[in-house]
Amino acid sequence: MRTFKVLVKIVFTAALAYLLQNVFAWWAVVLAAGLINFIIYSKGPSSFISGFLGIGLLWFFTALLTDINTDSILTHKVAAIFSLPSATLLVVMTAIIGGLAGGFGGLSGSQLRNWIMPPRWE
Amino acid sequence: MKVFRFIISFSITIGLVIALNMKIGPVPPLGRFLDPFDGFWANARNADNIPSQLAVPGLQNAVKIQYDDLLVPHIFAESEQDLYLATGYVHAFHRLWQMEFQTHAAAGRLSEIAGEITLDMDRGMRRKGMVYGAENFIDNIDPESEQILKQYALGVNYLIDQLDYEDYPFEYKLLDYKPEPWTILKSGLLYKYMSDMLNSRERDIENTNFRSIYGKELLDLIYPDVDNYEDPVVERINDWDFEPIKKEKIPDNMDNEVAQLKPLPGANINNGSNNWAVGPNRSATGNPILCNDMHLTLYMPSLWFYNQLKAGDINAFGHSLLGIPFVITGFTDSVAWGNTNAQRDLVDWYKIEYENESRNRYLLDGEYVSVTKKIEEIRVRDQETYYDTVAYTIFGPVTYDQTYRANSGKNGYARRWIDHDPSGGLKMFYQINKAQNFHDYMKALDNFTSPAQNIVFASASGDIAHRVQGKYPLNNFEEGKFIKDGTKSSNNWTAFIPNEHNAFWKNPERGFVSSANQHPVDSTYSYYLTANSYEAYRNRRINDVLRADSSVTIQDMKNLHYDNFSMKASESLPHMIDMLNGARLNAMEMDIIEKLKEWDYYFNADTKMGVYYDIWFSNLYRSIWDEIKESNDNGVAMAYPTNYTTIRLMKDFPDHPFFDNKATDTIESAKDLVLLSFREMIMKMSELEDENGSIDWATYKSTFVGHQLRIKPLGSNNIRAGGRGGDVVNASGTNHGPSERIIVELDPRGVKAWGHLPGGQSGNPGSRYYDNMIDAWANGEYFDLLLFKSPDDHPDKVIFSQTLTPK
Repeated sequence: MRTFKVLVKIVFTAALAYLLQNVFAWWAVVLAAGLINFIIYSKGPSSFISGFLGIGLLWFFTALLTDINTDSILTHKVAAIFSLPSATLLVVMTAIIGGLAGGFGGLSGSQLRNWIMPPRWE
Repeated sequence: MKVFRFIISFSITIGLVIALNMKIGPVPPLGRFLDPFDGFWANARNADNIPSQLAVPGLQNAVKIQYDDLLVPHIFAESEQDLYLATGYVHAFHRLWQMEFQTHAAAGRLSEIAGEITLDMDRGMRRKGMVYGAENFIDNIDPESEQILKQYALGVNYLIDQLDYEDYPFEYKLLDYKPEPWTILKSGLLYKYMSDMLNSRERDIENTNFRSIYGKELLDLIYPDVDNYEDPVVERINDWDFEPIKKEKIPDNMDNEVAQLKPLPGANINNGSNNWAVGPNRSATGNPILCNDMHLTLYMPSLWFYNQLKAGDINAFGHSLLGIPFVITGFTDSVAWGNTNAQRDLVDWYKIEYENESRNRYLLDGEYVSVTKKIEEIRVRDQETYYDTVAYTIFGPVTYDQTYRANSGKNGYARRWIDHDPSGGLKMFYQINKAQNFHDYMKALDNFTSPAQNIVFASASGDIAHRVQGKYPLNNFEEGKFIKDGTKSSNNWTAFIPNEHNAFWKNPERGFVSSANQHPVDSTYSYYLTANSYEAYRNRRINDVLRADSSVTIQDMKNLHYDNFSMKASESLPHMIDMLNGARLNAMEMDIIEKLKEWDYYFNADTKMGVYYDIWFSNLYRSIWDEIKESNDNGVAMAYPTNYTTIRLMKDFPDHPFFDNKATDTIESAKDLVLLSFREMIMKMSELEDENGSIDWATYKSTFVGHQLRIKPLGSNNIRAGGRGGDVVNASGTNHGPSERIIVELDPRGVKAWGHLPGGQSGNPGSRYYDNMIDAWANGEYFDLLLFKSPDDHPDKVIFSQTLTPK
């Protein structure tokens, strides 16, 4: 049940972030993760994890697809600028940066919910 | 408790977002930059997406743009107004970042982007009058050119207005800043950017110091006005059909001046070019052939952008500079033209005697007059704005004074530059883009004042010509060669050589014309002229090859572009080897000498002897001119003599005191230095081979085309190319060389052309067209450059079609 909830949050976070990023700048991913974790409350580290994975995976696959479709022309150069040995690592780095923003966004959303609307079982 | 937990994680989140949205040191804002939707990934994804249809405000009719397979836009408009607007849009679409960066550099505004590191450079640009020159240029522009630049700006700004962060060119994202609106002044700044590269080299300060310390006789020996009078651009011995104008001779009285200042780095000494045209009688097909290659620092994105501009009677294909809506060199359906730099002393320095340290008033014709002060506001990234006060005199801005690069007490040095003056350059490009024949070419060139160029010409009707065109101050013998006395207004430039007296010839008997930055005229030309230096090798080599070939083919012209023969080596190496006579050489040294004797003086990519010679000669050169280096190190600027003169002195005056190495107790002659530098070379070679294994010329030279921001991964590195910068016709150096090559055959049935760039058409490092021509450039392969007759021409070559419609 709990795993299912996390999966649902990851999917919704990614989907909402995708929509919001069409309109807003990159930091909209924080809002997406925060909002989903505010709405779907769960205890423990799952808010951070779902935010991290929701955004991280969204960014990972978007970057990976771009990298593949463009034969890494630009990705190679940017990886070298960051002293990374490969374009794939740049995709991973992108995912981690997005993941961190999403993770903390998710954590904040869940703690906001916990503060203003404490769950009944507590 | 819960509230604290929220506050802590919320604060971390906010802090993280701020940190990832901010440039920290050289690291771009990571969140924004790496965002796979709007960050740099968008530049990769959208690299070659050209919208097919756009409604553009300000257009009168639809403009059709056909991109060929080199990503060259062929722009077809119904009116000139529409053509120049569309050109602005197209230039900005591919090269916006470069357009703005180059004009920022010219305006002394790089510190806004780069921070304190470029502050000294920015101050220099402003203090030498770059903005002042650009403003004079734009304020006095003819109404037609002004209208054209305004249309161009409309097109550029239409593009800029469309941009969201997602669409910003890559470099804006990397450096975290935004494009600003384009103005017609920026076109003026770009013009000055080129003039500064081409027409600002001189050695007045260095000459003055040398004369004061070593005397006039030695100066004349080491720095002759012209190294070699053979093969000038225009040779009309005793056939100059004009009466020269004259002016009063003003005595030069700065004999004992030693300027304690560190001059701004001049433009690269190798900036130069080759151009030539072969007439119908020497061409295998009977059609004239015109060739050009312009040698500049090699940058990404490419300095040049190919385009075809067509509207009404304008129909030109060729190289444009980003920021100016004309074809600068190229061809129409009937004529072709190409440029080389026409070296001349076009800067003079005036010593200004201020009343006191406040530098408000200076002595002029016996009384103190006020300077005009201009406060330069230089914004510096992440730091306080820097304010610099620049004093303007009747001569020009005071570049050097106690506050900038000089230890000059209450004195200063004012700069007079030909490019401080208004110029009709744009009008010339506008007119030559319509040229049909020799008459049109001459008429267009009459407008041209700067940067002075040797402009070669050929027409489908069979004419070839060469003209040395620019606005040249009229100087008496040796005038302008030294710092001038700035207390006398009569020392200012008072007269200029009339256009009709500029060197020119048409269809000379020899059947070809050529230039390679050499001395412009034979010694019977009436006016005095000097320059920082004149080329003495490439010109003779080009002429030797052209004289020997009476049936020139296109392949011959390609071969000449890639001619790796070094006349410098052929004229110095045998002598250097002779000078080793009598020295006790070991077997290994003898072996190297034997191999060097067999070398054919070609700097081919795989030659090893070229490396030996090059290191040997540069060591020798350094040890000969140790006095010059020492003086520069001690704050007294002196110029390095040319290779040509160095070789001549070695042959004619081997025992001259200049050959003594000051660091040793013994007295050396040229012979000693030749041996010493030979042994140094052998040591250096073995070091290099220990480090890198086998070395040949291409690996040693290791040509690269660097990004303008000097970020290595954005450039093209380790290119294997033959040739050598400076004295070899194929002037590919380490980071300098042919910024384009073009060959045009003026076939009356349809002009044909071939060429390439050391890069590509796109300015986006994510594009396939960013560096797609590099290999061709290195290996001597040429692409067809097509002048479309109509938008429907060459359908097999068209890869994208774009239509701009009125809104």
